[in-house]
Amino acid sequence: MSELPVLPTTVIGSYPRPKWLREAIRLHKAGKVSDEELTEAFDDAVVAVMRDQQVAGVDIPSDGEMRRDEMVEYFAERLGGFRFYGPVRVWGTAYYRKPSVVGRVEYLGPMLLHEFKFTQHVSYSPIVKVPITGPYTIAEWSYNEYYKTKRDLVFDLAKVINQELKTLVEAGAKFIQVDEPALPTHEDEVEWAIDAVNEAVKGINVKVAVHICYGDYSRVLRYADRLKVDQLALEFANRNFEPLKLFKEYKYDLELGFGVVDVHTNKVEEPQTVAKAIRKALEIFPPERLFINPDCGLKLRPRRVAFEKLKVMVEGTRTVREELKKKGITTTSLKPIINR
Amino acid sequence: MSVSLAVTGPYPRRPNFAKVVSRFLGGKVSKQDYDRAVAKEIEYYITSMKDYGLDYFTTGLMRFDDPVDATVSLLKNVEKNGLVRFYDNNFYYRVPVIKGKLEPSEGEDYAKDLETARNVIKDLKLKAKLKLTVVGPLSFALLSEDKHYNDLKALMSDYASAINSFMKAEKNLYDAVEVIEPSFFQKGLATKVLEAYKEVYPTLLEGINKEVHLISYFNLRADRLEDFTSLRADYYGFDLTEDRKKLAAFVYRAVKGKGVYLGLLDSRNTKVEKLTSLRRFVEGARGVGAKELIVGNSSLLDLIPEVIIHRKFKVASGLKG
Repeated sequence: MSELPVLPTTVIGSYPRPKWLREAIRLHKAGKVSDEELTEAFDDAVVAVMRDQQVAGVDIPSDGEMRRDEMVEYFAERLGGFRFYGPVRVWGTAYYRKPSVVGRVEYLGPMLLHEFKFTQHVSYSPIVKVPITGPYTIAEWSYNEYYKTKRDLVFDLAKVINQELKTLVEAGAKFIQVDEPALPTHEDEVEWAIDAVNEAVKGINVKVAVHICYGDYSRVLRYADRLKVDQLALEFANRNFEPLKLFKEYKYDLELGFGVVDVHTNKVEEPQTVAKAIRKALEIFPPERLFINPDCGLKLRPRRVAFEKLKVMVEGTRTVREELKKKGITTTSLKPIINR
Repeated sequence: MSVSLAVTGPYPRRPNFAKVVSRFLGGKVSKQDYDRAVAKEIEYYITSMKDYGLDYFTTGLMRFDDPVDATVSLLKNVEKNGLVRFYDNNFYYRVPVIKGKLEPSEGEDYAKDLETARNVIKDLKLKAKLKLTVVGPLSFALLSEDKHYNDLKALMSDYASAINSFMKAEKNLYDAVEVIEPSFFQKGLATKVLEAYKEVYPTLLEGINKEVHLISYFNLRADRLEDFTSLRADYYGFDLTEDRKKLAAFVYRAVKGKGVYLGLLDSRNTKVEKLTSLRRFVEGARGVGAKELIVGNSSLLDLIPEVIIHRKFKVASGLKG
């Protein structure tokens, strides 16, 4: 169960919602589709995107975050202490409903349990990835109207995320990914933000990755030795794989989830480009410490493009796997490498 | 001394307008229809804000993804690349990649929007002035990827000349220039870069006989205030929110006898300011002899929901009463 092919391919989490699901959501908002019918549509969508990942050949799929409108919004809607005022833009024409913290953050009950159980049930793979937004990113991407300091808010969030993770592990989750794209945002906060992530994953003894993108990785790598996770899953393709050299510089020796396709362009990469990038990463990382993924969630790409990108990612990976096979390297493990 | 109110930089695009932008970029809306939609959005923004007694408007930069994008539209030999975080915000801009000597473009879209905004202000019979918003040479240089110059000063200098050409060509379309310099107070800026900037900055405003607002965002450092206020401007703008409030006393000292733009309406938090608190800062600046005072948003209004912008400006309008 814990053995995987070397260079396991996976996703970061989100995947484009099928057009008919978007329509069902719209109709639900208009009162023309019931809650029950919408749940059925979400379930069907998970099956559909699971199939896309299976055809593409992804080893560790996710449910594509079909039920989540947005990575912070989803959790803020299910925790006590938040309210929403309206959408804000993240770039170009992309928006999210940035929440405001107006009271003490409270855990009101499981947020991802149903999502995980259903995903597990319909998955073609015994291992699925469960992404969850981390405490620092929820705080950083919310407005704080209540807590005296951001740090107080982050540590309260860490407690509720930890509670959620324990529920998921109890239900059988084997691979958790804490999404912390905001982690490197403020240089002077990274050290305690890492402590908050550690607090969130305390006692979680399954594979744990942290996903970061579009930031200065050196700010995190500086403290990597105190980060109690097995893997950093990062975006690289968007910046021509340049940050790879930092990992050598900081002597990072845990696992890397290596981003090989850019999620902000419709241009589909070539499998050879992916293979070349992986070979470059293998100059720094031993094969058993390397997982392969897109830079970030694929949800903003058209579904056809997202699928093609996954296919290319798998194809490029398989080329390198063949090369490793000749050296006798064929498998890697899902076992956690850090004791939490 | 009265207090003026101003908007700085972009105003949020409404999601419905963003859909038009997407359709235009996807080739599903003609340029003519798109221009009409941009004009309508500018009209909406100015009209919706008119009751707060604003003395300065910008075009809202509706057509552009962000201030950098707006400035890139005025240049030749620049391409847009991957998304990068805009300073420490959950807001991203496309990095300009400089592929050749920076030269002025026609900038006709920006000019069109200035004309629209000017007409809306006139039609609504407002006394407000219209500001032309441009990113300053220092911030542009630091936010770009240079594949041509390999010399920051030369890059800033050509950039300043190119933007200056647009300012001169379209001088009848605006009343004031707003130079946004979020990088000025950034940590780790080398002294020689600052010195180069001080030499280049006059080029940007050469021959421009308009009111100049030099606006910083996000960061503030007491040790660079003297450099900042040594640059030509009629108003010096500071983000006085969050932990920067404690630097207010230094700001007041630096702007003695000068015009100051107090960025007191926090563009990064939904908590609405209290009028008493705004008054305290205004009195503080007045007390040490700031010549003229403007109050406005601290940074990009894109960073908060539109409903909150209205609440904040409504409170701020109390400063004029």
